[in-house]
Amino acid sequence: MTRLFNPVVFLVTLRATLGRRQALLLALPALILIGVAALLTATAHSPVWPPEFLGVFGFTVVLPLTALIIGTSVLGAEIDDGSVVHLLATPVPRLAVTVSKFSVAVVLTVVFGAVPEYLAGVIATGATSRLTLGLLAGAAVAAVVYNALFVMLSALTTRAIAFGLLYLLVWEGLLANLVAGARLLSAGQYSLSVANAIAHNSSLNAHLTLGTAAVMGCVVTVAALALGARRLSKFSLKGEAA
Amino acid sequence: MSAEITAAGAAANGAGVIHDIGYQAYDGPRLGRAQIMLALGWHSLKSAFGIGRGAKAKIVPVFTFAVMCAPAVVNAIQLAVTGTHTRVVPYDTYRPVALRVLVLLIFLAAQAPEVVSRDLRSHVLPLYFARPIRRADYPLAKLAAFVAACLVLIEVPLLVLYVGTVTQVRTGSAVWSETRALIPGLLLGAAWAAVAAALGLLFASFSSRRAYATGSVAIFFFLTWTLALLLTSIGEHAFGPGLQQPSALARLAGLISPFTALDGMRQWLGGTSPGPVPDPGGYGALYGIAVLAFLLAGAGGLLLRYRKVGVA
Repeated sequence: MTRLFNPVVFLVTLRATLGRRQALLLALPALILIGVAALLTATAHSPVWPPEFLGVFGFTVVLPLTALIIGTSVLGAEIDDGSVVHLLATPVPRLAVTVSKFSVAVVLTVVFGAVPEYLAGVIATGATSRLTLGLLAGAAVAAVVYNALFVMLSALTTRAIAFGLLYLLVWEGLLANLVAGARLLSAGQYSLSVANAIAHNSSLNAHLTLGTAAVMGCVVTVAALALGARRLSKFSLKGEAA
Repeated sequence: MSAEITAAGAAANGAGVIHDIGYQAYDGPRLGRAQIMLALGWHSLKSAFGIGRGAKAKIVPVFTFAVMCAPAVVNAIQLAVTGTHTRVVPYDTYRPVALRVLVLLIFLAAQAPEVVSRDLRSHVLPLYFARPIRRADYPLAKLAAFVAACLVLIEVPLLVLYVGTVTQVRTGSAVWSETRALIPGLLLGAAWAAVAAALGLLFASFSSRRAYATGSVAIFFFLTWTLALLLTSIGEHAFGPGLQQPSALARLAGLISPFTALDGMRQWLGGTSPGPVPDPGGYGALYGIAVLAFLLAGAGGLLLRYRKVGVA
């Protein structure tokens, strides 16, 4: 267990991430999601909006952006200010560092992204509807895959947020919608497809089968974490990118 | 407060200004506020495009500029090859609109922090304010420079589009009608540049960490843009009495995002090309007010931000 996970690193990272002033901002997209869902529930005449709103706004905006901020800061913030050397000087395996930090990111993304998504679903369609449960499962998948990618990015580059954003806007936003082949390598499609497997709703705009999504999601997550840990194990401290 | 005023007065007179920062002696002529602002603005404009810095700093500005020009280039090639004289890209909406918004968003998120966050991060503001510039001069110079940078990004593709079209038309009246169509496009582009630059700089100036500055700019523009489009689409089919009439939600959702507000204002002012939001109809004036509010909030917020920035 200690080769893969270190509870001390987990707790320290959790405290450090939540202790920042920016942590409050994380709740903002989630609050907007819940607020608009409540407003629409109160006023909309038609029942077709929940999958569209919760699917598009939740899975292309709230979840990826929450994961981007959290996933790049669990490891990136320490690399940025140089304090990561103290952590890397301890005899904790680099894989354990990566996986522990990744776990913090997943837990926090579930709290700030997946749970609000579920609550919005409860407001819109009720606590046990297929859509709500599907959204919760899909959101959990999104939290895992996105954070693995962003933790890897912050081990690879000092400008993880910029590259993560470029990836979200260009790859997930543009190519995955236009090019069918890109869907096979899209974290958004994995999560939507898992949600769709439970909800069976074509408005979710999911294009992969459950099996493909699950297998590809696992492969991408493991590969990203392995690559991140590998990069971290030959880590050399640099100044800020000029 | 009174001490601040006398300090500013003294600074304007040239007294009480620290010139010798213990680095290098200089006793030549000293230039005033105007030249300082000009130099600061010119430097900021260059840094918005990564000029004077390494190749890595130029990737995003060059990439965004090239992609922004793509529709204009496609238009020019299509006209030249097929021999038709009808422009395929409108000047006022510069379709695809999503491309313009996305490219502008990436540019703002990547380059606005370059313009303001670096100075915060390296604590050089005390050095700037030790010179004979006033508090408002610094943000104004930065804002002017970044508006100019956005103008380059938005207007140059329009001019490429114009040149690509005009070189293919035969008659003088066709050239004149192209020119008349271009002018509102350029004015609208200026409004886009002003609003986007002001809000982008405001959000970027909140954090000295470039990562968080990038994140907050992107989250603000991306979240509001997606929300506005989504609520417009929901308002069109989930509300309202009939299918032909967009409901109040569809007409008002565009107020959420600066980009959709700009498009609503375009239609209010008489633009007829279809845009990302439906014709606001009777709510048109609200869109004009919204654009003005976004602009004032961005510029005013930036001035306020630098009134109380730490100088110690």
